[in-house]
Amino acid sequence: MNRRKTLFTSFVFIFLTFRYISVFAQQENVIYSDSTRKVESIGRRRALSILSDEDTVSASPIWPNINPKLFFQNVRNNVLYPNKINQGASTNFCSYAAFTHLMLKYKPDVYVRMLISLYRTGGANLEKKMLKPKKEILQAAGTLRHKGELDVLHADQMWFLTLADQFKGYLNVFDHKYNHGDENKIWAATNYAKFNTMLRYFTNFHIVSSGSDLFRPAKKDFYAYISRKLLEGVVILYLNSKYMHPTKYTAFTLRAPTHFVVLYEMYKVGDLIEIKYWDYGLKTVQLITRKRLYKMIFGVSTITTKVEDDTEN
Amino acid sequence: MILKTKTWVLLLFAATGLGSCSVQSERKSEKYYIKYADAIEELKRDYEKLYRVQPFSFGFTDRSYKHYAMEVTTDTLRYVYNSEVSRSKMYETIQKFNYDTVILRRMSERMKEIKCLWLTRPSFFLDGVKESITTLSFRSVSVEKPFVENKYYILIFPDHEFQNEEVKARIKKGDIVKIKDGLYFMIGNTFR
Repeated sequence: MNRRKTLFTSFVFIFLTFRYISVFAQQENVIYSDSTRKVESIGRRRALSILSDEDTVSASPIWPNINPKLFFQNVRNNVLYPNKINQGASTNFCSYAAFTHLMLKYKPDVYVRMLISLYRTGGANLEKKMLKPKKEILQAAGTLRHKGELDVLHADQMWFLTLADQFKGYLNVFDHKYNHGDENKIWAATNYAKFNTMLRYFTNFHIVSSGSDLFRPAKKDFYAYISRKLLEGVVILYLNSKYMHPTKYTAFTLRAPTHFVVLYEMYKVGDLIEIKYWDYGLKTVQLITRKRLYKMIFGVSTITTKVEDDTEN
Repeated sequence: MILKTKTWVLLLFAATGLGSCSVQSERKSEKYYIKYADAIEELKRDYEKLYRVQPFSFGFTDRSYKHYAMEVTTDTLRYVYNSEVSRSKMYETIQKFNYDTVILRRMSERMKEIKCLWLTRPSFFLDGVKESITTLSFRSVSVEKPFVENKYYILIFPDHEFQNEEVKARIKKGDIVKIKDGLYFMIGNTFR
C-alpha cells in the first residue's frame, strides 16, 4: 500500500515537473526571444546602411514642404529608437503610429526603403499594394502645426498622412479627400477591420483578431485570453482610452473603442493586473482592475507567426 | 415676417448667451486666481522643483478629491498610478525617484484646498523651437450636465512671455486670455 502511495507521489511529482518545464518554455514570447532580438539588430543595421548611402541634403520636388534635414533626421531617429514614434498631439494617427512602431521594431529596413521611395518617387510598393498619395497629401506633409513634436517630424507627417490617405474604412466614407485640419478628424480615423487589413497588406505573417468596433471579444476571461496571446506573438489592443485614465468627472463615458496600443507585458499583482503597453512614444506601466480591463478592450489582434530567422547578407 | 422676427430674437438670445458665457469664464478664472494666488504660486514653485528631479504630472481623478493620481515620465517609460487602486506602487515610485515627500504632501494638501484637478508641464513647438509651460486645471464648467462634453479651466504659466505671432493672434482672438504677465488661462476639453 505504502509502495503504491510512493509510486503515485513520484508520478505526480514527475508530471508537475514536466508541466512546469513546458509552461516555462512557452513563456518565451517572440517579442523577447533572442532570435527576434538578432533579427531586430540585423534589420536596424541594414536600415542604417541604406540611410548612409542616401543624399540627405537635396530636397524632394514631389514633397515641396518637407525639409530634407528634418526628414532624414526623423527617419534615422525612428530606426534607432522605435519606441519614440509618436502620433502627435490631438491627431487621429494612433493606428498608424502603432503599426509603424511594430514595423520599426521588426522590419526597419523595409520601413526605410518605403520612406525613401515615397520621398524620391512619390510612391512605394508594399507586399500587396502600391502606396500613391494624392496631390493634397504631397502639399500637406511638412505643414502640420500644433501637433506637439510632430510639427518638426517631417518623415512622420509624410508617412502618417500617406497611410491615412491610402487606407480607407467605412468610417472614412464621408470624408475621403484631405483638407487642412483633417488629421484630427474622421478622415484619419481607423476602424478595427481597416487596421487589420493594413497589417495584412504590410506583412506575410499570420494575423489573428478578435473583437469589433461595437462589441467586445466574446471571451470569458480577458486576462487569460490576452496572456495566452502574448505568449503566441505580438499583441495589439483596440481599446477605449477613457478607461485607461479614468476620472469621475464625467457622468457618461461612451462605450466605444478609440485607440490602438501595442501590449508588451501583463501580470497579476494581487487582485490587480499590471500592464505594460506602448503608445504616444513611450512604454507605460499601469495597474488596472479586471473590471476595467474588460470595459477597456474592444479588440485583440495578434501577429502569431514567429519572425523568421533572418541572416545577414 | 413674424418668423423672421422670431429668428432674430432667437439669434439675439443665443448671442447674448454666448457672450455671457465667455465673460463669466473670464471672471471665474481671474477670481479663482486672485482668491488663491498665494497657494497657486507656492504650488507652482513646489511642482517645478519636484519636476526637475524627474518629470511628472499630478492631480485628482475624483470629485471628492480623495484619490491622487501620478504619472512619472522617464525617457523610456511612463508610470501611471493612483492612490485608489495602486497606492503601494505609487509610493514605491515616489521613493524610487527620490521625490521630496514633504513637498509632495504639501502640494497634495494645497491642491485639495483650492480644488485643483491636475498639474502638468506639456511641451509644444513654436516656429520649430520647443517650448514648455506649466499648466494647472480646475473646476469643470459643466460637470453636472450629462451628455455634454466637460470643459475645464486651465491656468497657463509660460517660462517666458509668448512672442510667437500665432499665439499672439489667439490671445487677441480670446482663445487664450491674459490674466497678468506670465499667467494666462484657457478653456479646454481635457484637464490632463
